[in-house]
Amino acid sequence: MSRLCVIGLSHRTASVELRERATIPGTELPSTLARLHAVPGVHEVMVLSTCNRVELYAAVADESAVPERLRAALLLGRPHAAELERALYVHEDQAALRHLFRVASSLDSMVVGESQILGQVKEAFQLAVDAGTVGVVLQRVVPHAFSVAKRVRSETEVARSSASVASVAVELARQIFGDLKNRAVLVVGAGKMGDLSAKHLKAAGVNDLHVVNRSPGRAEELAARLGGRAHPWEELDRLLQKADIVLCSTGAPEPVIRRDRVEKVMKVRRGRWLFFIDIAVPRDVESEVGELENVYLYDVDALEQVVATNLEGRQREADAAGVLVEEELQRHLEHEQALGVVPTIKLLRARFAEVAAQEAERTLAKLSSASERDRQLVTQLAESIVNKLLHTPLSQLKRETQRAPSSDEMAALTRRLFDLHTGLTGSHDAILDDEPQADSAEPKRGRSNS
Amino acid sequence: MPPLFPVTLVLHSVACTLYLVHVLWRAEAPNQKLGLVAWIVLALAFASQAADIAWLCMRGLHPVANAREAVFFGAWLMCGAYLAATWRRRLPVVGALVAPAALVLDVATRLVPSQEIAHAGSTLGTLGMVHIALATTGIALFGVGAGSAVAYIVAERRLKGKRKVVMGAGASLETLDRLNRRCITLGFPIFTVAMVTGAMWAAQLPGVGVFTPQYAIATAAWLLYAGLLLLRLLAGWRGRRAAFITLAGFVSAATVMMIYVVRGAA
Repeated sequence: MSRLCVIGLSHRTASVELRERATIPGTELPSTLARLHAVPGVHEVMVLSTCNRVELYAAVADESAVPERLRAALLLGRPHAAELERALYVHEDQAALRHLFRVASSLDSMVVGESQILGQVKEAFQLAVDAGTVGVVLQRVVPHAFSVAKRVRSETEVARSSASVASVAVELARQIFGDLKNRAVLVVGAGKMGDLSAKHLKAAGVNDLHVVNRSPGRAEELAARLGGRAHPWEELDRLLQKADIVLCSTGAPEPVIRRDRVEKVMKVRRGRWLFFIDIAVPRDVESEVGELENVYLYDVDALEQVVATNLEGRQREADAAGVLVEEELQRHLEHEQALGVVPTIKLLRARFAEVAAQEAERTLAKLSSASERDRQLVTQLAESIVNKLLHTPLSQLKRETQRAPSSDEMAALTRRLFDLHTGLTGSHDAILDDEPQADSAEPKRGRSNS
Repeated sequence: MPPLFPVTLVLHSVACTLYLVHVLWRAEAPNQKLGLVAWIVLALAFASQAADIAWLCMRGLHPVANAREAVFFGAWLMCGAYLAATWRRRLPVVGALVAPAALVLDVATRLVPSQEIAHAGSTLGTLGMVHIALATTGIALFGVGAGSAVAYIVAERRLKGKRKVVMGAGASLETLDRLNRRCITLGFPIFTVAMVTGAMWAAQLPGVGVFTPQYAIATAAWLLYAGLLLLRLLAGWRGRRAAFITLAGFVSAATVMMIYVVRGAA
């Protein structure tokens, strides 16, 4: 029997330097998976390596030494292993499953509700599938984690608000202009943050991008990278007259865009809306500019304040999402418990079917003059009696299993009562649904609801 | 009372509730589906009210029979104008203003006793009927413009105040201003003709004359809208200023209509 186990470190237990050392590059993931899969007692394994966490999810044999062996295998050959080991955590069984659900739902992320993690878990799973290190357990729990994440995103507000300065800037631009497709963006300065925000605006559909910088070389370089056009610094006023969104990130010690300058520009613009995103420190745009009509100014402080407010909201929503995760966890555990009794059910049904077949055979041997139709009826009668007799005890067994955690005792008692020993294999889910019907000779077939 | 009025009332109330829930309760994370449902329910209320107006017409109480029916008709037109303007792109934030306003007008008109008897067409004459129909249509369009103006002012204040920013939080400033401009551009010529026909009709009526307080207020509204359109065209006025002028114009125009309703009931 396999147990689920998680071993890893994340932003909660390790500094960024430590996480950098622990990260497993994409090229090394297949060999890492193979190495971990080869550890004795490890049946299945999946590795998740992102900038905020390095974790392995494994289905391991029910032996206490296996997680320890996995820890050792994970740290093998890594520099600063002792330091890494201190940051490692191990979750098993229910705790491991809860952790997986929370990670996939982005409730354990540094920025709660961020959307990247689900894609990263999906990639990690696919990689493990391709490497052949995934079996029955991970095939069951990881896709369930995806559906939990989907539920969290659709039923809670945890991922609704923007959570980075760049995404807030884009959202603000949308609230002023609506569609950003035909908007002109002017990037003033060639700072790194400006580069990042401009990329976000490009991703939001902006296709008219201009860069102006005191150093023409850097302007050219940034414009080429963003797919825009570079202009000399002297053209700033002309460009301000045309742009809809102005992204400032120069290294100037004093504001380069002052109120009187924007006032003149606004006259030429005939009141067209102008949105300044000032992410420079010290600021590039004089704060009085924001007082002008149809001019909107958000500096770094204002943007970060919005981000902080949004994150507070996400944290509040995370509590509601946590309840949802617990609900799903409970459902999964109930299903797992029900699966635990499946071999017993299979054995019991096989034993009864065998007896029914034998008795039908004996009866038919005495009825030498019976037609083919009569023989069929006798066989069906025997099967029907078995199904009716088994209906109540099997239903009761499944119900008890879902209700009581000590379901193994019930299954063991059943095996002792009916002297069931032979091992059987087959689809557990199918057995759970393939319950004999009291009112029908034919067993009813259907899908599991979990 | 028109036979479908209770149905209209219920549908209208449901639409208002949905719009208000959309805008107030879920202000931090508006649900776009809720906005669509509200729009559909309002469309059903519009259809139901159309049937009522047709029923009233068959009994001689056509939309311009008296001030009460004109307001009832105006409220219906206002909903229609909103529904048409937001056919492709829903603007629930404007719906949350237009739908309750129309509902209040619907209820108010049915509560006001009608002193003016049916077949008023004979007393109003063609000129009077044209005047009332055009004035009502113009004011209905100004009403939608005023709704978008209020939504603009609120959204702008929120942006200037650097409040919480959420994904997909309603209409953009530019969209709201565009709706405002379209409503005024369309409503102004209709209202202008209504003003002219009103003056001609008043001049025909014995003992009334053109220089009444109602006409003075209506002229003020006309001047505000004319000025706004001119400034939009020549000086590029838009945004908050345009929104405030739209509101002032609508208050003036609606006041004139209310004076007639109150007089009719007295």
